[in-house]
Amino acid sequence: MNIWGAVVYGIVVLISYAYAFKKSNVLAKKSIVKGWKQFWKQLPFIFSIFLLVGLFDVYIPKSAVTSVIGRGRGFLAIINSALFGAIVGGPVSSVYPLGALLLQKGTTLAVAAVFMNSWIMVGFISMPFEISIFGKKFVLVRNVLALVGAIIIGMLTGLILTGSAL
Amino acid sequence: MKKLIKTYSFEVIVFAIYIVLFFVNWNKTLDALKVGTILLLKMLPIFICVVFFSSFIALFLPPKTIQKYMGKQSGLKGIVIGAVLGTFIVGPLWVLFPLFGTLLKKGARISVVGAMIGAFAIKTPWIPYAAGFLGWPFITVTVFLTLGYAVIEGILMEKILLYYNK
Repeated sequence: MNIWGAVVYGIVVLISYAYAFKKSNVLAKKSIVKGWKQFWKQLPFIFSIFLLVGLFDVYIPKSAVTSVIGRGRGFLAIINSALFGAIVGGPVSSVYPLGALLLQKGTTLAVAAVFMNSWIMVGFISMPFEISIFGKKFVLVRNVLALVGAIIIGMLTGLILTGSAL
Repeated sequence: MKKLIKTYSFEVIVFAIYIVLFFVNWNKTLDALKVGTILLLKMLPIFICVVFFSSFIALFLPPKTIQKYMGKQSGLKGIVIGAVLGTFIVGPLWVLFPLFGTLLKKGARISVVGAMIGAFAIKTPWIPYAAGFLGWPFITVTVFLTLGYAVIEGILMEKILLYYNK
């Protein structure tokens, strides 16, 4: 996909660990153990997401996607993808492959970006938990602002990179 | 066993879908399996970097340190720093929301915490992963727009919430 991204990132990680070991041996070792545990904890999920992407790729025809959030749907496609992303939501590891898949299936960059932003920024599922800490008013204001932001940022991203905000 | 299924409910569902679809259409499902596996192999190096960089940040830039940085700053500068720090916070929501709650109780401004939550949408360790799927131009534009919006979001949240709490 992009080998240089991985190489540069690998170097960044090596440098950060060189710093870590210089600073504190104990903490650095702890960090490696934590990373190792996280790897095995997250791997099944990531693989499942990729497998799901594979299924969508093979089984869901382009026309099914474009009829709901395709190029011809204009602003309705933006709203649909924003709401869908807000309702489903989930870890970031899952949203980027799904966003890339949407693009592949014929949505515009703006629509895919709005979907990914709202998936990450708005959390319908985690709302009750959020309310228990911050209270209703805070959470309502935050999520409304986040939804609006997801749409604005996504449309601007489309405008900047492809010349089209829809 | 029951607990295991609950922890891996998503993975179990994907696995079950695959079994069913293998009976429906062997060849197509095999293609899907191939797509998913190739994706995993392609993204594995970056994913390994992600987990180890995340654990490094979690241990060497823990929430407590972030709290310390937040205590000194105020004004627009404080909001911008809050947003930038927000991109470096790693961990799931249920760890983060309590941290933000504590910050508010300790007297941090709503605008700062709001900007942090807004910027939490950018997870620095995952940026190269996102680039792997969507390319560097996309993620660069998204990062800058999200940061900018996080600052605006924080300011608006404070204005709205203070207005209604009068």
